[in-house]
Amino acid sequence: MTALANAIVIDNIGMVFGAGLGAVRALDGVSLEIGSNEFFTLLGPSGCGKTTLLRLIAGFEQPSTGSISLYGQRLEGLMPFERPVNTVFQSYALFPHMSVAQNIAFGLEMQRKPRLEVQKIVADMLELVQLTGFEARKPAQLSGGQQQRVALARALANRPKVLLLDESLSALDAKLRKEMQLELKRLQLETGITFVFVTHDQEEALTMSDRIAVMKNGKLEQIGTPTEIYDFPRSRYVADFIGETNFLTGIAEANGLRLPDSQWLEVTHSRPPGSSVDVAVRPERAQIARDTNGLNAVVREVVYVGTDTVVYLEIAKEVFRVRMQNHGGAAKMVSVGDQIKLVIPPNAVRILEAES
Amino acid sequence: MINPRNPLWRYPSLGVLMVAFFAFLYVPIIVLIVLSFNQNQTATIWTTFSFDWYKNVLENPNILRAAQNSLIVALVATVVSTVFATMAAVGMAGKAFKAQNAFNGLVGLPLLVPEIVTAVASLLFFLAIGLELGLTTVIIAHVVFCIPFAYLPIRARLEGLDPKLLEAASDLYARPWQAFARVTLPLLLPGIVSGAMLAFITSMDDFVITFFVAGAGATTLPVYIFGMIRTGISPEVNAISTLLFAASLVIVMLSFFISQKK
Ligand SMILES: Nc1ncnc2c1ncn2[C@@H]1O[C@H](COP(=O)(O)OP(=O)(O)OP(=O)(O)O)[C@@H](O)[C@H]1O
Ligand SMILES: [Mg+2]
Repeated sequence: MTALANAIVIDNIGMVFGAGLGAVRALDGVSLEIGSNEFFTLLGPSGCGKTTLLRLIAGFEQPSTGSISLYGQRLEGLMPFERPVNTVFQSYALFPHMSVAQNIAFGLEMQRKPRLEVQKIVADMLELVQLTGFEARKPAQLSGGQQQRVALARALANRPKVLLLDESLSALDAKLRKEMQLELKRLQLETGITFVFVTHDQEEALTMSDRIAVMKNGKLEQIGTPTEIYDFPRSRYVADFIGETNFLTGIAEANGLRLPDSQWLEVTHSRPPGSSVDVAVRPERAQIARDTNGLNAVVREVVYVGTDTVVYLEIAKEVFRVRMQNHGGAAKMVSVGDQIKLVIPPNAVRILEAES
Repeated sequence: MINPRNPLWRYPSLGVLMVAFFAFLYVPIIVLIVLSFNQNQTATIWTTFSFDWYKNVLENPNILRAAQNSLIVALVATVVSTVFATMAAVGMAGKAFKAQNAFNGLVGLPLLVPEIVTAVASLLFFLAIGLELGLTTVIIAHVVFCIPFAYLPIRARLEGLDPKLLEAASDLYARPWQAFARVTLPLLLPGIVSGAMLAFITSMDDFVITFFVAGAGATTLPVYIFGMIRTGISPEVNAISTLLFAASLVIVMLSFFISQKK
């Protein structure tokens, strides 16, 4: 059944809230295909439309234009309770008058699962989210992170075909978050559930996702695997949003760019000569040297960050960061004020699309 | 918050006003209660303590019938008006903002209209449609004027309800009525209970409208007490009033404790 390889097909979705002057275009021509059992992440800054897209898939809103299909079935007109999809809400939305166990059991009871089965699943879920012993508590008696885990358990208990998670790990501390990330990945592999995960934490997106969609103002900016997104950002926006990046702007000439301070950056590109070109370079792909060919730069700051040292350079009036691993001892060579050479391998330079 | 020790917030003469206010409010009630235990016939001179008037009240068939009428009317009016009010509040919750405001205004307006106007209007209406005055007309009138009282606390509670909870219920496969029964209703319950109690008190207490639309056989307690007063203040009146006061106090306290929960 290869025809069912796509769990979700989102076709040219547009979403406008309100009308007239107060109208907000939350989504604009979004098309996506999410594979079955894929861990798909929507990544973008606050207000870019991530929650809106999830709400459309769950059925809480109807799209202004376009359509959504789930395993080949068009979702138009299907109420949320008719969709094999469960949501972990950004605000948890736990039922305040029910205990933790009752919250988790709710979806199973609505589906009329036998009582013994419900009890077993609830116990399993509590164990999964490490809340065994909390079954009788009310949501108000839990910390934010604990509430978030109950919300996760409540949705997962139903074993939906598609699980929608809206910033569902954001309230957890670093250690628990790492554990839950691993648990979610394990669950995804074991259960075959398709995960649509919303976050604005790029590191979380990179570690967990099979593919990432970077969103900007209601539009898709780039879709790709974490490596594609990290190593080949299409635009300045994506490069800036994912990981640390240095930007340089130069005028295109054959086989390179002329930087504003007339230094020469070697890179293969296909832009017409004379046009202004933005490039991105990851801090760990550049090196500092003394007696080689390279760009002239001045050391402005040296910051020790445990495994690495980050050196802030000034080049062409811009700040340029270089990240070096500490075990090699290279970082010890530089100190503030030094005139050094900045070596940027041509294959580390990413040509960015001209901003529209 | 205003610091209670801040001298800028001291207005010495206000204390006197406050004492006067409380005196006028509570002294009459206290006198009434004390005199209801007075053995003396003349209602205003104290002799010795006795339960005689309470015995009289409880043996007076007219008073008992009036009390029974009052209870029947109040119970029916409370149940029916609370159900209507709940349906109205829940039904309006999903509507457009403007429609909600208009609706709230219409429901709340009778609270501002002078009661005598409603009373006359109700009487005319019943006469016009040819309904014979009696317990039925009293009950209909009470149901109607109790609805706004029941509606307000329910609606206030509903406004505090997170709409995400209904979405969550729906997401977890609850159909609209299941979501209502399992999520909306339990969360509204404190509002519904205090609405019902307000309706009950209002109905028990009503005089003007009842006086107009009650037929001969449908006398309620307030109307009966009014009738007794016209033939002079008897200690029996003190006793019934004290009983009514005690009953209201219990209901108000119950409603307070229920609304305090959560
Ligand atoms: N019900 C609504 N009515 C009007 N505008 C809305 C509504 N819901 C969302 N919006 C607008 O749509 C845009 C996208 O909102 P959305 O909640 O999808 O953002 P988000 O990417 O989830 O942001 P965050 O990371 O802060 O949760 C925002 O500009 C928001 O103000
Ligand atoms: Mg959001």
